[in-house]
Amino acid sequence: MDIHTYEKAWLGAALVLIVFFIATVTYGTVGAGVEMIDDSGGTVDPNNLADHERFGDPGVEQVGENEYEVNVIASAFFFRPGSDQRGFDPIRVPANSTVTFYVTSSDVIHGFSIPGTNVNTMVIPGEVAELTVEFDEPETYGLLCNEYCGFDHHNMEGTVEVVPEDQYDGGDGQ
Amino acid sequence: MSELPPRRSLKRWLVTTNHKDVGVMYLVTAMFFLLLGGIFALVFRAHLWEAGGTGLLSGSEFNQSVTSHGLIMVFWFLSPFATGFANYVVPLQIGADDLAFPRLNALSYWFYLFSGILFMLAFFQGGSFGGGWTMYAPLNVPTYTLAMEATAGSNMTIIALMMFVMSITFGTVNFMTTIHRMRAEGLGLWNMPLFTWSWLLTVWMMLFAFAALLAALLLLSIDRVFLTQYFATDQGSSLLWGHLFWFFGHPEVYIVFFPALGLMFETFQTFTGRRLVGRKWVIIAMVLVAVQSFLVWMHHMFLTTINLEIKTLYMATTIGISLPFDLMVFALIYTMVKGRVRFTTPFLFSLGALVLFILGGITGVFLGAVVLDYEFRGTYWVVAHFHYVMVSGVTALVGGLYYWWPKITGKMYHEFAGKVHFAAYFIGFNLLYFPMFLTWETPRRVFHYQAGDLIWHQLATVGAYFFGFSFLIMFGNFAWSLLYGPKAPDNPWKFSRTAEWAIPSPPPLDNWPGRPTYRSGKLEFVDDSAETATDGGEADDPAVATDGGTTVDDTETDDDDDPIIMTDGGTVINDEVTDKVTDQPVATDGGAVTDATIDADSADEAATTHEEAHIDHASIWPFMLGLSTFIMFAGLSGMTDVIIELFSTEMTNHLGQEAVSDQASVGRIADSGSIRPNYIAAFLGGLGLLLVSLFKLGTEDFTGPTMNIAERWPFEGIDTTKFGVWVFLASDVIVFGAAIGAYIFMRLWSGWETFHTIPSAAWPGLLNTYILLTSSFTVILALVMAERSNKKGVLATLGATIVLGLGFLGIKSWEWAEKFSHGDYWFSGIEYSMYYVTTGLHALHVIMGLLIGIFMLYRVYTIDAYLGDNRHLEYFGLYWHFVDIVWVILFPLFYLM
Repeated sequence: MDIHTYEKAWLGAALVLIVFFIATVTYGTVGAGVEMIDDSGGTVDPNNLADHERFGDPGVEQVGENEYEVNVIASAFFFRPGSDQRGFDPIRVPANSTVTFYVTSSDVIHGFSIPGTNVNTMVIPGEVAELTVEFDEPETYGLLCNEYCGFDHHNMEGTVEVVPEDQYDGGDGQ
Repeated sequence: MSELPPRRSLKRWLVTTNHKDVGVMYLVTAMFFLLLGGIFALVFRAHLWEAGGTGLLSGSEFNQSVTSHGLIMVFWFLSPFATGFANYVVPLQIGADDLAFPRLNALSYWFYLFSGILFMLAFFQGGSFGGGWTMYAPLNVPTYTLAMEATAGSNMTIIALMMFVMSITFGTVNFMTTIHRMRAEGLGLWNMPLFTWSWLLTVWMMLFAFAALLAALLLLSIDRVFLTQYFATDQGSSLLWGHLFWFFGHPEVYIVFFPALGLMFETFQTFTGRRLVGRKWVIIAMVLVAVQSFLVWMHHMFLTTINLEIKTLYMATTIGISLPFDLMVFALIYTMVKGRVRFTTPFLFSLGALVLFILGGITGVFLGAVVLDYEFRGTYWVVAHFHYVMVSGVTALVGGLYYWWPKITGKMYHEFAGKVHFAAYFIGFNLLYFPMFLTWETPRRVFHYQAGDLIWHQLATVGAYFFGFSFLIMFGNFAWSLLYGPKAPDNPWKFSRTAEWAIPSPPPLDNWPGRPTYRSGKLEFVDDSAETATDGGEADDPAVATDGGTTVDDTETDDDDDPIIMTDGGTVINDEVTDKVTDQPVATDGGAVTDATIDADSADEAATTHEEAHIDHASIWPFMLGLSTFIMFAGLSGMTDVIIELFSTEMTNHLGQEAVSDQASVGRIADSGSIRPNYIAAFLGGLGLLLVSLFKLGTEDFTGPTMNIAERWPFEGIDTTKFGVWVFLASDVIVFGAAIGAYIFMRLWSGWETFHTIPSAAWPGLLNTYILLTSSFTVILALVMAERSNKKGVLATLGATIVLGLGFLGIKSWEWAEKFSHGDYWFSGIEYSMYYVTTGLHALHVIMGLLIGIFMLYRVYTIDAYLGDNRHLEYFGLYWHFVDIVWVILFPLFYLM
């Protein structure tokens, strides 16, 4: 079969692209060990979050050396903890820690996104989104909702403070 | 036969059913919605001029603007714009006189227009829907409407969308039947022009995808009006909506892009003077995409709690679907390389579309990878990506407008102004969307962004206005063309090879100078009138080739770069030489039928009283049906608080005092008391007018196009209307499939075995099963009686069917009444909602069947219809059997398991 030079070039370029994309994805999953959100978080009854062991008193918990769990309830229009603008504690964790977020919603679908990191998930009522990340450097991040949730959706925001280890006083906020 | 009024009279446009008129109306209306959707975009882009918003819009207004922009552009502009071209061009490309069901075509237009008016009315009801174009649950149910805007306005948005989807369903049935049943003799599927190919695949995707959306919207509307619990629960509602919506939503991407792709194939061929490279493979690739499009929807749900194995699977299918697209893109590029390009306006737009599509495609691959989605989801990267894809489709369609403008109007546009438009359009487009890639970390759906991103957002806003105003050049150009433009020849493009260029610009009402045929491998027009009409015989030899169609042979060699020498007059070449001429028996659908059909869904019937009867082009009833449905739906939008008032005590028991008073008060914000009777009156008045219009449509004497000789592979054996009924039933299967799927999904969610089943006893369901099965049997008896021309027999058996149907409804109502007396209502819980809604949807189908049956009984009684020709009874029977089969599935699911 006679294949034109252009055609060969195109085929080659296309193959390289495909291999590159698949490699990126494989690397992301296996190499970098990016945690995925799946159904392991389980389900909750959003009407009785107060009775839930995790969400009855949401906040930051230390569960091991440099390992923390952060339980967050997203509601219209705040994160608890997180929305310091609305009088809740900001989420505060030390640097060089592995943090697992457990997020659920008490009403509609919300987003839970920390711009500048790969923390980004949909928060679905009745479901718990679980995702693990590592915070290496001290930094203050914004936290926001990126799913429509009503008239004040654009003000649904919060703060995640990654503080130097020696300044960490344990737990949420002051 | 009714004459069509002249183009200058308004009446012409209200009564026309001609595919070219309807096509023009579609195009004009779609352009209007482009402007409307564009204005929304310009408003919120202005709001985004500063981080945190300029104060032009409140939070809720911003949400509504963005939502409306998305809904209008995706639904009321993109698809109908392509539908307009398809309406005008597809029958011409395949050599048909009109679409198979002209009145159904007009009906789909009127449903489109009126649904758009409904959508706009929502803004005058206290605010339209503001939950994003994806309408995620549970924000889309009335409980949360308090936080958004008035109930009636949001109801109106959802109902308008439902009406739009109905319009799509009518169109789908029509085009599918037309393309499969009405191709000119010798025009096999492989030889079909590529725009028609892309449109055929589009309607195939539409048939299944939009049916799923129709089901989702039906459930949502019932949730909103009757306060059922489908999308209100915390037991899987959000995911159920996600699955239903994206099962439609992903194929929708290809539904809007395919016509643009087909157009690019056409213009690339015309303006490179070369047949598309790898034509057969391109068609195969398009078929592959159409199938694969239904297997990728969960990549829109990577950030939900679906388990990882499934997400990975969907990532693989997503990467898979890009491969056929690669092939198509390379085919286009290679065609350009091998051809001799002429840079006319339509070609520039097509080429621009290709460039933008490649960019949009590559940036999309990143989103298809689960891991990368964590970075990208909910950001401007997504916004930029899908605008590059979708608006590249728009770009090709705008090119199509320039391409077919001379054919549609008979006038040439100004070529230089067209090129200026392209330049402005292309610069504006990239100025608008490219900065969004650069500022990709900005979260979408809010108007806050980092101060450092200010410059990119301001650039995008400037680009938006530049892009928007570039359309003024186009409108100016077209206005000039209509007033002063030179007259367009039959074929201004020289190398266009499809049939629409072989006839005058604009084409005459009846399209062809004779019967078009490709029997000899090229387009010829045959004069059949000299011969006696054949019925069931063999295809006749082409008798007289008329003067209009000089034809030129296509040389099939691959390296033929030379322009084909054109003779004067209308010249056209078949896309490929048809190597075999099929001598197929003529389907016997030309026989004498004295009566039109009745089913609203297969309303248009090719009913001819005589072989040589001219086809009709005028009927007012499609317009009246659209108008009455519009009035009825407008009334329906305000019914939520009527329901709340009627059942306030029962609801308080089930939902709690707080929820009810919330909802009731929300309803009143919009309508403050006195408006509510108007809603009820509108609903009932609309319903009455609808029934009258349906009856009038059914009894109207209307002759649709019949083609005695046509290429129909592989559907030679089915007559045209029957094919339409089958297609409609296929879409109905999906509607029920989605409702039943929702039941299974929700039941699995709460535990299959522990699920609380609603019917207190199985015997009423069993009894109803027997009743329906018996009624199917009596329909078959009616068919036999009609064949024997036994009027009394038909009356008795059809009457028995109706009595049995009424008996079914009687038992059903008794069951419901029994439930109500125990205080179990549809709002009592999700399991109750599913029981009432699913069986209610089925009961509604039974009621529609009964209406048709009663109408047919009346026709038999008054004018001895169907005697000796039982085809219409057979269509009714198909529908009735389908309704029975659905019950046979519902019965075990709801009563036994």
